[in-house]
Amino acid sequence: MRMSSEKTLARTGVYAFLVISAAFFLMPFYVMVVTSLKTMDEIRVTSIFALPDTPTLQAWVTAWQSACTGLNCNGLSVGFFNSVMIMVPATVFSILLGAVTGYALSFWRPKGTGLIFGILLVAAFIPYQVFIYPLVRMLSQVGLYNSLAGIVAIHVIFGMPIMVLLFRNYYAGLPRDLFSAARVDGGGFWVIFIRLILPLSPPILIVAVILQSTHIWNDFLFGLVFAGSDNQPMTVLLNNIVNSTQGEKAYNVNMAATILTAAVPLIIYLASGRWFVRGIAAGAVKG
Amino acid sequence: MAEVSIENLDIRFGAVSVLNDLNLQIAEGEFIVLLGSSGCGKSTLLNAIAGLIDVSGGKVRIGGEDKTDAEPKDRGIGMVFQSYALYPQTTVEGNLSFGLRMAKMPKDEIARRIDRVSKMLQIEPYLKRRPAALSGGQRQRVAIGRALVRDADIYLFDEPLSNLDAKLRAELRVELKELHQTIGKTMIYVTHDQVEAMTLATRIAVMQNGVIQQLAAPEDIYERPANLFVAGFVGSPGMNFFSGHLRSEAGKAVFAINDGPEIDVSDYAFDAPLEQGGEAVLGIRPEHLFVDAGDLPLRLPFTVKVSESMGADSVLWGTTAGQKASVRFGSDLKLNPPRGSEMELGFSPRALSLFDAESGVRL
Ligand SMILES: Nc1ncnc2c1ncn2[C@@H]1O[C@H](COP(=O)(O)OP(=O)(O)O)[C@@H](O)[C@H]1O
Ligand SMILES: [Mg+2]
Repeated sequence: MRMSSEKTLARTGVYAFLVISAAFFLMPFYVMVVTSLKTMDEIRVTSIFALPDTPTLQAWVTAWQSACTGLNCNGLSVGFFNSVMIMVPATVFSILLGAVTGYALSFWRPKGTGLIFGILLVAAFIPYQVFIYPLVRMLSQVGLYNSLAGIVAIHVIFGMPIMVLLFRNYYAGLPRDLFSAARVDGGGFWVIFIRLILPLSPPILIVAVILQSTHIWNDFLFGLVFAGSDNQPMTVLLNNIVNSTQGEKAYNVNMAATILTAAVPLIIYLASGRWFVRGIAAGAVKG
Repeated sequence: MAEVSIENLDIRFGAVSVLNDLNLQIAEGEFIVLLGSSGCGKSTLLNAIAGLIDVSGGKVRIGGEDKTDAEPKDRGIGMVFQSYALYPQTTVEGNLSFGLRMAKMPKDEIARRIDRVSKMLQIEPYLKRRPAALSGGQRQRVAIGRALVRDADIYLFDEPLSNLDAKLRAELRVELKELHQTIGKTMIYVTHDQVEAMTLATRIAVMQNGVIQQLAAPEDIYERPANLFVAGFVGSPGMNFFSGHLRSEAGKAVFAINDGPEIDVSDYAFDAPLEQGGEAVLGIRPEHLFVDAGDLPLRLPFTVKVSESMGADSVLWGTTAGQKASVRFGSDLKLNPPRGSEMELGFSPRALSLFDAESGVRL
């Protein structure tokens, strides 16, 4: 069947809107990329939109290995590995804890389930800044302040409300009879979780991985406060590079450093966008 | 041993009491059907027997042992759910063997059991398929198979046929009856479908609002309903009810239909001898009213409104003394009276039921 002319018109409008919005959001990124490929001399004399005359990766190399953050001049690379060391365990543990808790709350419903759920719901909306001072005191009491374990624990704790809500809602959409059948078949808490529930969880696991890994990677405040100088994440180092007060601002290095720091969440989004939408949709339909 | 005994069972969800002081004794090998409309607590009772919900009070005994707090797997039960509840990520074979593998049963024994059950239920051809690739009827067969491989003493069914279409439901119903006759195990079956209840049960427990209204063989439920609820719930079209007044008069029992004729019910089998009368309800099933009165001793007037043919049977809908009534008869009578026709219906005192109008209890 032929499309009516109104429909064609509407479609053209939609595409025009999408192209313009994409251009609008891509513009800053474009500026960052071209700036990072220029030398400082060129930056001083050309428009920020101009393409580089002789593109060079020097700024990228500097940003990665020799830009100065305060007294150290080792670039961002240290921060990258620190961030990986924080992100991987924090993502894994917060998801596992969230999944198990969500499973327990939706299927086993221990006494006080409603209360726990209510507390989590409220906790998810409290600005986390108010917890910082008490947490600093608590972590130093148990000797975890300024340590990798400490910052990982902080991310796991603050990830709990959203992770539990996410998994609980997803599991609430699975048929309860399935769980009952597995109990009649002799499954206990862990056996049912591992053999029945986890294999049904990939859609929501993908969503959880994306949410947590990008969120933890992008964190600045917790990293600054809790990680200690040996474990500073990339975001903190980036801030130190960009905001270093000595001498002229190296815009090309700053741009390269910023893109490098943003690259990980960007790649995660681009690689998993489709699954992300699918997982969210699955959760929405079932929840 | 697999008798089930439920003693003073209380089940509450928060402030809501679903079952209250419920008692039920089930003998080994019985096929008990819990019949009632949606939300009356049938599944709750079944889940309590299975150990899937917490009991607020009372006891559940299975085979003489107190199993009130036992895990579902330790109760010697197999269970079939309305939604089939097959494990979607594994094959039919994986579904059947799931529980056996968890119980660490030897491989050859698992294979032997799956072989026996899949032959019995004719699910051999799809052992390697996943549940998503099966039709509703096949899925429910697999679900029954998964319960059977457990070799349980008691099988619990929660509306296993209600997601199937009418034809398949009838087929599987017969298969279930055959299965019960073959293996002879105790079965407890929940349904809201009275045909399933009447055909499958050795005894039916009719439930309303968490209370068992009557527990009896299907014929008794049908012919001697214990109260107005049971009388109205079982049977289609439903039993005719005529309100009136019952009195004892010169050694005779007389029921006077409101604004209608008086009927001599002296030959009715009263549960207790009639002492004084009162407001009452006379119930009679549509098929116990006869268009051709013959020498039947009791008579009722009837005004036709609509006639309905249902294949083998036909039903006339109308009124008796201003109260709604229906008559059912074989279609071979070729009767199609016009609207407004007056007729006289005959019936026997043995076919009727009398209830106290206030309490609804059978008299
Ligand atoms: N987990 C629960 N929490 C609260 N109320 C429940 C729960 N399960 C069942 N009920 C209530 O108990 C009553 C009986 O439910 P159920 O046994 O499922 O009825 P049936 O199987 O006869 O349709 C219903 O009113 C239902 O709302
Ligand atoms: Mg039910």
